[in-house]
Amino acid sequence: MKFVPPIKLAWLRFTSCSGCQLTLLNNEDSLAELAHVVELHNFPLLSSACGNAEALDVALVEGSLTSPGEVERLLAIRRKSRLLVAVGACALTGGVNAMVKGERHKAMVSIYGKAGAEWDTFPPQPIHHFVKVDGQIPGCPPEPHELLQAIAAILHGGWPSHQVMPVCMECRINENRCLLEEDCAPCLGPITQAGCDALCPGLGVPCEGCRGVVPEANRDELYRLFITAGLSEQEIRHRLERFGAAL
Amino acid sequence: MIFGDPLEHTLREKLLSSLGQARNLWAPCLGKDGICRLQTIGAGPFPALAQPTMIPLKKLLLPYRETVWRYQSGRFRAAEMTGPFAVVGVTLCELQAVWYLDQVFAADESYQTRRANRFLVGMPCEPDSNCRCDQALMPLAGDIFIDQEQAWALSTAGEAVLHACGCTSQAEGPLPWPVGMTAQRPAITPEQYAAASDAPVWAEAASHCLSCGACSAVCPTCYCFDMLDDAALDGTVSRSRIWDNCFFAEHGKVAGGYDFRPGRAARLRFRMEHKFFGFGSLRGQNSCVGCGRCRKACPVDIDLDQIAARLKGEEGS
Ligand code: SF4
Ligand code: SF4
Ligand code: SF4
Ligand code: SF4
Repeated sequence: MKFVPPIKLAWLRFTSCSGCQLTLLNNEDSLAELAHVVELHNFPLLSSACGNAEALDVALVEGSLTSPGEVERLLAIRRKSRLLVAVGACALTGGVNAMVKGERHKAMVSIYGKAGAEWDTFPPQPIHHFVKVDGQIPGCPPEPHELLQAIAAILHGGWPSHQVMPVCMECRINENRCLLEEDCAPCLGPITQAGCDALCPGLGVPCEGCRGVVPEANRDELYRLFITAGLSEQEIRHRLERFGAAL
Repeated sequence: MIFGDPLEHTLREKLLSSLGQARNLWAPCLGKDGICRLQTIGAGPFPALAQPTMIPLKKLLLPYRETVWRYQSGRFRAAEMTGPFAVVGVTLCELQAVWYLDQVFAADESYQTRRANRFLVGMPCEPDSNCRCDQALMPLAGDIFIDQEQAWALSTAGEAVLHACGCTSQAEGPLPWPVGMTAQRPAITPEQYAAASDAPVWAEAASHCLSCGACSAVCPTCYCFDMLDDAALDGTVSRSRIWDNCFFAEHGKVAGGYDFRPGRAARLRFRMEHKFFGFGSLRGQNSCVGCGRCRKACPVDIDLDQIAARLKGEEGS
């Protein structure tokens, strides 16, 4: 699919923290360049003006879906966009929003009071449960350059190439001290898709798995390692559930 | 020693300043976190011993990610090469590994350009329990080997540098290889290996393997790569060569979705076959120089030598 710049681009936000939008804006050095190649039709974090273009080239979608109203809005966007890209953990897997467990009705009332009981919501869902997704940019949040790379690749009629590999590989390349090997720390690096340059282990913090699970992940062995390291079954489940890595 | 030290000091200092004049100097540096890394050392100090670094010399000869070309404003541009540099404090097993890479990439322009710019200085090491080096395995690459007050020239470039340092009498004896390291190296034949392809040890090791890729990433003779294309907002397109890894899910995949090596057991067998028996024109050349990095880096303690020992025991059973 070839595009002639400027491409008509809109950023849609559903249930999320807006961190992914901020990540795009964090590319300060490239924003002027970006403005040359995209025509921005919606970007909630920059302007409350809501675009109403009839057709879009690219829709970047952030957040998980939690209500019928959101689904309608998502379907409308899908219908008028040539490409729809899911951005960030919430859009890809439900993200941290999907951790909510237990009785939904009770939780709504305890947080929002009586009014909460009236709202029509459902447990957070990734957007691919409702619409066809043309591209995915993982991470909570993604790396700033990934968003630019995706837009640049789209301009060329493609999609960024990346390796399907775990965070451990980037961690080894960076010659970090392995937290799993040396400290028996509950690092999710071995089962988590790379691309963040092993950001957390590089800072001495075990990977939380925010970029989602690699294909063919060996959860069983990681589970065994974590149990040996002294974690309880529940602790392990919570760790895996944070970003939807539990089965 | 008291009398030996100043002399040794002098030779090292002379060598360092001689090499440092035209080149960046790299050496193994032990970090506060206990990890040894190859780093630039500026004006020193010159290491006293060689040490295996977490990522071996391929970090400089075959960088993790290198741009092969860039297409910008209607023109293709070749990748820029870094200037010449010297690596001091290289272990003997790693000098073998570089010889092996030299063979593998004999016809690779980018590798050869990088390689031509490198001056390698070997030094004695202190073997640990993971080491299983073997002097007879293959020849050495490199330029100079220095041990205390003695120096060996390993190449004509090395000879010239030693000469320039005023070191006229070169060491004559054999290089100081660690002794008794080969005892644990399993002697397994390709036939024995092939016959044991269904041995239970494969499924057992595969159940533990996390596919993290560490073993291959840290191996001085693992060199698989992939090619990736990238675009930038200004229209520049670039192609890079990036390390690949036989433990990754897509390494054995080809067009049509066919996978030559589905599953971890097949991937472990592939890596071991490559290490012990080689592929292509290097078939028959064992390329495990015995540095022990893979054993040390594996989070689930998988050790190819132990697997080989089990295969020999299980063969025919
Ligand atoms: S610290 Fe974590 S990500 Fe890094 S190598 Fe160890 S297990 Fe993998
Ligand atoms: S190391 Fe793990 S948690 Fe941290 S940014 Fe990378 S994928 Fe996310
Ligand atoms: S296979 Fe292991 S011991 Fe052998 S050269 Fe590679 S990293 Fe070193
Ligand atoms: S280092 Fe160990 S766990 Fe990781 S891929 Fe190699 S054999 Fe498997």
